[in-house]
Amino acid sequence: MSDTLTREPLHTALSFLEGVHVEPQQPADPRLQPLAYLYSADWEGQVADRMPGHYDENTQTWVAPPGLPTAGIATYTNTSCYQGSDRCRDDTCA
Amino acid sequence: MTASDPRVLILTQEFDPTVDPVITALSEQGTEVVRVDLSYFPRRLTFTTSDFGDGGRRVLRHKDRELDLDRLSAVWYRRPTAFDFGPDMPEPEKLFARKEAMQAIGGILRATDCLWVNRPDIDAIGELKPYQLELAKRLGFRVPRTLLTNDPAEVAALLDGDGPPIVYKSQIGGVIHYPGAFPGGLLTAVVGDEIRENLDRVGHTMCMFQEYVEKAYEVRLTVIGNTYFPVTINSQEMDSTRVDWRGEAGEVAVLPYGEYHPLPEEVVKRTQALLAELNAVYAAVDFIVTPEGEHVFLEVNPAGQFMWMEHDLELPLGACMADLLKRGGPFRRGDAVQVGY
Repeated sequence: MSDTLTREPLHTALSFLEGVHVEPQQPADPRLQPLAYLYSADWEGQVADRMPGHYDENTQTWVAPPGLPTAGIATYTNTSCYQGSDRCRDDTCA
Repeated sequence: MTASDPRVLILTQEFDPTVDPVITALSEQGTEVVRVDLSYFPRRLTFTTSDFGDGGRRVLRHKDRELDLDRLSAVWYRRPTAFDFGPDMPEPEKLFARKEAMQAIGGILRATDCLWVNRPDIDAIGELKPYQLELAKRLGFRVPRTLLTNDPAEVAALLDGDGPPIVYKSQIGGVIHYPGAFPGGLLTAVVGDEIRENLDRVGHTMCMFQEYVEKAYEVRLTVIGNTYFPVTINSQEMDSTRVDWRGEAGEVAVLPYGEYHPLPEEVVKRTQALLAELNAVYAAVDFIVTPEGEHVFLEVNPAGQFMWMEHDLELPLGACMADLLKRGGPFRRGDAVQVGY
């Protein structure tokens, strides 16, 4: 229990969280990377913008700017993944 | 706690699209909801338990919200992130503070007498894929033959065999995370000759290989309490979904959903037994259905996402989750009800 109380932030959304910012590092020598990286799309080391919108303390939900997909219905996050596509649907990633 | 006076605690980060519609539904029904991220602790979130004064008390306070932890209907454990002790505390002190907080808050939360969806220790065990596969086999499911190893020689021997195609599948899902930047995708992939020049990389960590199972279609089953939402994905209709249906993604991407097929009674029975063994109240379960109609168990995601199917198919998943949380515990696995679309 003591090691499982908190989780990694949503994998596709960590970069959008306030206060979470790590300068990306270029990928290591491929020979030193686990085999999984052989089957992952090339990573370009691009820093992510924050998720548009803000957290509303009163409603306790995320408020997206008008015209953008509403969080909780369908949201998309830029990624370098998925066979040429640069976007994936957050909700299908876990 | 009675259903007429429900109180729900949701532990998750501020950006969590799966949670928002459920909070809205609960609030509209008059249910008291408190949503906090554990990163608020200790600077914006307090926990207090005390035996002093008139009786015991266990309370959580965040801004103007106060929650009596003895009067909870349910806790929805989603994606709470790590405690944040602020930039000024030195690292050794942070280590101490984190361990103290883990013990104390873990204990306080574990002591709550209410429904948990799911308890974090149950999630932690339930998401262990080798354990899931063994349980599923024990309960009568067919599972893909699997090699799990960090020994390159074992993989070389498998590749030298004359069996079916082999896929590489990671334990942790569809992305490789790069903190602070866009993640990289990692889908299940059929291995080819490229792996032979990279076999030494098998030695860096555990790797899972499975036989490729021919598919008629796939099923993403979402289980909320005893309510089953089996969704058909005709993954063989598109090149991008043939090996891993998560491969179809993009702004205008639409998964190749198929017609609703209720799960056979035996599959439901085994799944109920599996989730009972895992003590999971909620789970997302993936199956392959072979051309012969056999359901092959792939994996359980005890904290899998589901709101994308509500959006695409208008399945009432959020409402079902809201009802479960509002109703509270105790929960017992009983007769499953399947919901179509």
